[in-house]
Amino acid sequence: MLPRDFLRVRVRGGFVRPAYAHPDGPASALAEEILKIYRISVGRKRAEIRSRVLDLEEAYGDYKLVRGLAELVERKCLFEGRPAVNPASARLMLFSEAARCGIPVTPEERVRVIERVASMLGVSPSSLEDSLYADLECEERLIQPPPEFPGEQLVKEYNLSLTQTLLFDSVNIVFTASGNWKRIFRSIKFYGLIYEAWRASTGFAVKVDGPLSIFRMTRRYGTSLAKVLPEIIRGAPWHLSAEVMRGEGETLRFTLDSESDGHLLPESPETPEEYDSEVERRFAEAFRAVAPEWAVRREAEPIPAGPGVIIPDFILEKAGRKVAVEIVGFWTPEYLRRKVEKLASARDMPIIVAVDEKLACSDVERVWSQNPSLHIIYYKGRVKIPDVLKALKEVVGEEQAERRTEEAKGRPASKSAIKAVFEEAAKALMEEVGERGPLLRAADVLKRFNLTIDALPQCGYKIVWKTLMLEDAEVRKEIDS
Amino acid sequence: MNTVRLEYSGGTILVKADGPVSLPYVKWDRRVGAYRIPGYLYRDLVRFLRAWGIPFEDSVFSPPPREGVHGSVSLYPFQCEALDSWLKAGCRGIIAIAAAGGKTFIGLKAIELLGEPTLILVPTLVLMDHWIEKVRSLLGVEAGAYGGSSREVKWITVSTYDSAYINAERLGNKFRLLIADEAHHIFAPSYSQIAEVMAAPFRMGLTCTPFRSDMRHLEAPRLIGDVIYEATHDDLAGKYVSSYVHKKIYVSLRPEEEAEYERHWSAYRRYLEEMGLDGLEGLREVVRRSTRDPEAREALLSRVKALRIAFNSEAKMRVLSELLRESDEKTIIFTLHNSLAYEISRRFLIPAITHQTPDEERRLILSKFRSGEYKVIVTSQVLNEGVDVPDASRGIILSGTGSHREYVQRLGRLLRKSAGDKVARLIEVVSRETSEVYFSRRRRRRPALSAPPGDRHASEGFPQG
Repeated sequence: MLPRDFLRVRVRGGFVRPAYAHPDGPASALAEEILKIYRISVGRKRAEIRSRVLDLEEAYGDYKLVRGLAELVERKCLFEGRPAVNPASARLMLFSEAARCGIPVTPEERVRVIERVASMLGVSPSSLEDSLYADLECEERLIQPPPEFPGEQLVKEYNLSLTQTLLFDSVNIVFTASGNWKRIFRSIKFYGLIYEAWRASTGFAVKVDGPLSIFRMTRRYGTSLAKVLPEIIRGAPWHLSAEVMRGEGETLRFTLDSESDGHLLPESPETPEEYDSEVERRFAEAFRAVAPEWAVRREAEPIPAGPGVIIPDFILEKAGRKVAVEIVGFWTPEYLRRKVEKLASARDMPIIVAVDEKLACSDVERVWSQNPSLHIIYYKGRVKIPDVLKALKEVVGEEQAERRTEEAKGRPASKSAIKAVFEEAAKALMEEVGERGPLLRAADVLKRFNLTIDALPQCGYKIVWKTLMLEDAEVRKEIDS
Repeated sequence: MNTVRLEYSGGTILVKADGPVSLPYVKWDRRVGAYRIPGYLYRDLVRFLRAWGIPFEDSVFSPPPREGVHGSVSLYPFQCEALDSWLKAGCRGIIAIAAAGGKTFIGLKAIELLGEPTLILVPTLVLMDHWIEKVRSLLGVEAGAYGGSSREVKWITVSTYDSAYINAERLGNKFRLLIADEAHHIFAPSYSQIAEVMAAPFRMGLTCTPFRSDMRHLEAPRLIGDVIYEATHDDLAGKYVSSYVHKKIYVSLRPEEEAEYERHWSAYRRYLEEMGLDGLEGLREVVRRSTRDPEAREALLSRVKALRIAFNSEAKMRVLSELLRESDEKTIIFTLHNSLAYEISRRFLIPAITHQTPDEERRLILSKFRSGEYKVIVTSQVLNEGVDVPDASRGIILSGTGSHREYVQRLGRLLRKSAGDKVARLIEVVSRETSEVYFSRRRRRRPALSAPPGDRHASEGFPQG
């Protein structure tokens, strides 16, 4: 993050974008120049080094870029005042002495005061004068230069900082990401922000703003939103869109995408799989060994639950079938009750909850009995894989069985069964017709599910009539919002 | 009946109920599945609930541990009058009293009378220390300091606008009385958010200049309450505050400075003429262009250089020498830039107070100045507002920004009623024949208000321009 004065933007047609420096352009050479100045300036005063940096302004003609880069370099350096006399006591003694014998108004009077105090302290007059304000930032000396790293990297860090600085004025951001969810949501919560989440065609989408945002547009949360950004871009592929305030009332749109803009930003190191507990780690290893046909993904994606989301510990996936696993191994009955209630409110994905036997209590049983869609298994010490496989079979089996019995009996199908049919049809449409395609082809796909084109909205598609001819009509995937 | 529950949540109040309720002000927040109002509407909502006899559970406030206030504040008649109008207005509103009218005492009396947990907002650290000292000596309580390097929350807490702005959500439900000192600051776009997220039902603004050139003071009724009492300097002069003399000393630039000044100033004028620009509007346009157009930036730099020569002229330093030689009375020297303050400090070996001065050292300098050990101090913009520097009888302005408010408040410090009968003097050292003369004139003109320096979020690091 940089001071606002260093922000450079381009505005075009309602869109705003920071004037990014290209890592493979001349900015990298400039970055190298600045790094070099700091590397060869050990022992010099900050103000001196800065004035050398400012000389580059003329050559590169872009003072905001020069100063922004230099600001980032300074943060990687160590500065320190090393005065002969503690500056605060130098000031106290000099000013007290001057006040005692009358303020010196001639150079001679001034020298006499300084000499007197210097001899009291046993230092030379010039080192006393040097010490006087040695604790001011601009007087500090560089004692440790920046570490070795390429100018290109500095330019990328600069671009990230620039983006954050732009977000200082944002009123909200909407993003999709593909991982790192727990850290993303943790930081949203940490900065007192509020989110709304939903499934969009491009993945799981989250809108973030703050408590006051429902009353009016406010920049109040801009700085916090900027602080969440580094977490979002750790979960590539990602996409980000922000409303940025300009003046009072007017907003501009800012978008950033890992595919088209990722090369401008620092590569984020892949976050290693983190386990909250030994129980979780052992479960993942054992399950992978026993049931390799299932992909085990840690904190893979959030599931909408109530007004918020939950991020289950694991998502097991086989042939497009997803089942979440949450391991509950600690805390109080009250915590457990709330946790299970929240899990029970999860929509659109079955969840297997593994509960430590020691925590088993009537509350769990009660919630369980009210929410038959939850699959609760108990464990002692470690989660037993056969128990999980059994639960998985139940989950997958139940759904298929449900559908079959209903079809066989010719009875009106249950809501969940109908939903499952629509989901399967939607999947088939996506595979065979794509985001948009001829209506007739979509109708063929639907026929296989005993559905007509009237079911298109339920499958997330709409019809676009180009003429009155059926042959010319298209279907289009609706963008969720 | 359906009980309503009020909870504080990040600068707002969540209004929860088991069934549907119909309430004014509230807005449904589907993100959390509850009704919500901004903090400042707490008072109105509670009034409504009481008026209609709707039962409600209120867990909004979580004040700091109570501390007994042992007040013995006595007020002048006009201060009593001011406090009365505030109490009658339902403990809300702005009291506008000329500098040195003892605003602090009115605030302290309000704390004593209400006995509520109180947050006091001040623009500077110096003023923060001042309030803490007054709370200690007149209310017998140690107030928490929330600003600079400290973050103490106590029954009575004094915070800078800056720190309160950053932590507004955290402070919002801890205090029931909010006192905004130098209250014109609270209308700044950023600081007004403090007033919006605070749930405090009782609010008092203290200022000598309640009006702003950007008209944002029109927000007063919503944020803090209307102006409910006004006393100008003329109302108080002679009776409660001492009078003063104002004197200007014109100095001429030295020939080489003159030439430098001329060179830079004409470079700036030339650019304006080429572009067909003029006056203050012209200057704004140059500033706008300077981010893209190197020539505009060059012109802007020329202007800054010319003004710096005018402001920081060596001739002025000589005048300053003369003034320091002729009298050793208690003097505060004001400069616009830190660099000049430090230059004066080095040259005359007098202490400087800038925003970079460490908290401890600033307190030490001021206490030595109070006790008379230091006779002269130099400061850049830090002491500009409402700081009680007792019996400083002489002020010297070496450069200024041309803002009306600044001028009034600089005077305010010198106008403190002192023990002796000596008349305070304000001396402005102005360059002849430069644009600074114009600035100096502007400073005296009443309606030329500009936003106070505290409203800007000054960035540290590289100097701008």
